Amino acid sequence: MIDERFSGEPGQEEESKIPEEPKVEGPRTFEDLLADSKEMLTKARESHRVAYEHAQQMVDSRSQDSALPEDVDSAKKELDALEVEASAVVSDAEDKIGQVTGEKTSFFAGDTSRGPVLEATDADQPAAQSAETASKSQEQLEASLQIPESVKPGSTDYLSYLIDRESLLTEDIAKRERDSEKPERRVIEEAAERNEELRLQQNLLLKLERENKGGTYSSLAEIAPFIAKYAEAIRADIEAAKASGEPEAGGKVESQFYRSTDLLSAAEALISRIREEGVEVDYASQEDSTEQGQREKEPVAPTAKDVLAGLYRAGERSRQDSQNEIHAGKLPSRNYAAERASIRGQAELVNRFKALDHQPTTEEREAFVHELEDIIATELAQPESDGQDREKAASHEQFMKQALKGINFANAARMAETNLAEMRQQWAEKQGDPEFIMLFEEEEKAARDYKLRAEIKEYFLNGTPDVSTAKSEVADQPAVEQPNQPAVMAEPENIKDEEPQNTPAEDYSEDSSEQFAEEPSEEIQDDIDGDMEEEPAEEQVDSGLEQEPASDGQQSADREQNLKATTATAEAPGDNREQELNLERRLFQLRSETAGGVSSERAAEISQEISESLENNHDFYRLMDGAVIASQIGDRKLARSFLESAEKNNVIGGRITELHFAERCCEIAAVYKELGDRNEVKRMTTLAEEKYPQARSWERYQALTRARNWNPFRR
Amino acid sequence: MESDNTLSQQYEKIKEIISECMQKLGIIETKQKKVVQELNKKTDTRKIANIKQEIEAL
Repeated sequence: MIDERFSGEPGQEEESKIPEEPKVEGPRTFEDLLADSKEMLTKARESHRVAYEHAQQMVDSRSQDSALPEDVDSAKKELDALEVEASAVVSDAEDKIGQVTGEKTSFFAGDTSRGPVLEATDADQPAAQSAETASKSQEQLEASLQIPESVKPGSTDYLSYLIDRESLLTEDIAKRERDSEKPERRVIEEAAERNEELRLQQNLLLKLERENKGGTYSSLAEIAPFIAKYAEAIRADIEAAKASGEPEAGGKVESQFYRSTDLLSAAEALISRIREEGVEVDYASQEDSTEQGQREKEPVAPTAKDVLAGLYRAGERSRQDSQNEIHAGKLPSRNYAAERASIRGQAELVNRFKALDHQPTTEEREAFVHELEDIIATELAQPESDGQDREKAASHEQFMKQALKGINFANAARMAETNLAEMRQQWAEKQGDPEFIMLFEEEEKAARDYKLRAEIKEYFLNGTPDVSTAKSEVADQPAVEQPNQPAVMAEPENIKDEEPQNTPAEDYSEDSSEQFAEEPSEEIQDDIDGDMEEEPAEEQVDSGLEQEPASDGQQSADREQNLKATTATAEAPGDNREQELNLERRLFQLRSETAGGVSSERAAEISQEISESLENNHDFYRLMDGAVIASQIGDRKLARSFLESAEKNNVIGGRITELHFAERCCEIAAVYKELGDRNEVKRMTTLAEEKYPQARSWERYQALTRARNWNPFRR
Repeated sequence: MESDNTLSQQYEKIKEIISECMQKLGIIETKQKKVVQELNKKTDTRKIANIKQEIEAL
């Protein structure tokens, strides 16, 4: 009679390895008994050998695929150790059979070519160990399947738990299928189902991990949309199967449905948690999830804005919570706690930005710069309504300083300079390559931009944007309140005056030991400070730029035209560059100066100065500088004039791509918006969208966001 | 008859022994799979890190 224990259903991996019992009615003689015993044990041994060889092959194949030799060696040793256990198990079985038959059996004596290849030693006691594992009760199994609440879904640890759970369940299934007791089919099926679910989740996480390129999840925000998307894809599959009306679809649909419900619940819980942390998930990207093959499409990650804005809101909420606690009398110092929460949020934000500094594309990095600047500008422009202007002003200023501290512009400028130097070496051979020229000039622009940003940073941190003129210029011109002008940035001098009042630094010194003992922001702050220490002096960047050769071939027609216009009296290319930089610096100073409003007398002086310095200038950005300054001093006519010139110099071609064109249109529109000219705003944004309809939504959104939140410190 | 019974009982016991043996071997195979999985994980992580470095170097 054939035991049903060994008649597993086809298609199941584990069962396929279970050797069938010899198809005999029973032992006829003692010799038959021995022969049957040997045959059964041989099959078990043979089956294991196949598995072992397969594992060895897998390890060998990985040794040729980027695996570290030490990892491969370690894996091989582990496999060998397990093989020692397997040998001992077989020997143990032989011994036991010998005890039953009363004869010393040695079915495989001298046979090392088949079955477990290593001999067990006395030190190895695998049989007992395995038996211990095998004898795990159901309760123990359930307990071991629990994932601690402290392990966050989506984390690498979570993935490890899933893998462990899968292994345990696999063992459990194998155990039940091979158990001498009558198998309970329902329990097995449930376990298999759970295992399948885990496999699904595990595969999902592994896939996500690969798609995330880093091997780890830097935040929940990065994983939630993926999970939601996959869950949606499963649900779409279910709906498609239902719609197909296939006779077999019913059962599959039902099981898939329950599985997807679980997954969706997990995803929703995750998203809910992320929402609590303040990060919004873009559901719009899931609109087409019902399409066939959606699962294979590249998932859409949340934008930098999503993450950053979320962190910002989280910081804001944290600050609000702290304020509530203060009102409720739970915290001792209103100012201290509010600032603590604020700084923590800001430090997170800065840390986030720092992480982005290592992202692959310049666009992403720049997008973060813009987002950060937008937030700073928004923060600074936030109207005061609670009668705590001074306190909040100190907070704003601290916010800005903290944020800027975390951004290593000088390093970015240095990287761009390094790239430029490499490109210059290739110049001779790639001189005629328009793409190379475009890249070169983009890199050149990046170096200049980052250098300017480094100056801005210094300006806000130390109040000295430029060693030559900036400090005295700004100091001589204190801000005058003009209610109609957007209060984008406070003057450094004003900030300095207010700084001694209620600054976070003061509070930290008063009570830092107790309140900050558990704050992660301290570490982050240390990192930020560390970065500041490591940051090279701006002079280094300066000198790099000043030494940059400016051959004719390195300039596009566009650039040459600008240089000729702006430096008509220059005698050498080096002088042109210096003049251009000086003009840029000067315009930046004026933008800063006028941001908070100036007296009418000063406005007239500035109006005249920019009119003269930008006469016949064709550089889009300089003209936009002029437009912003004119707008800020209330000279609408001059602002319009600059905007019209800027528009004339915004022509697709050369290094101006359609995207650049569209972004520039939006920038022009932003200043028109400041001037209150809605028709022009509409015309420019329509132009942008007409010329760049193929833009991915985030790009268009980014450009439009820039336009909406234009501030003079972004370019 | 008594001999047949003895043989049959021995046969049942041997089947139990072999069943237990297979169960233990199954557990060992699961552990082997886990070793391979771990190596795969390490290697994949390493590969991904390499790719990331390459991308960042661009």
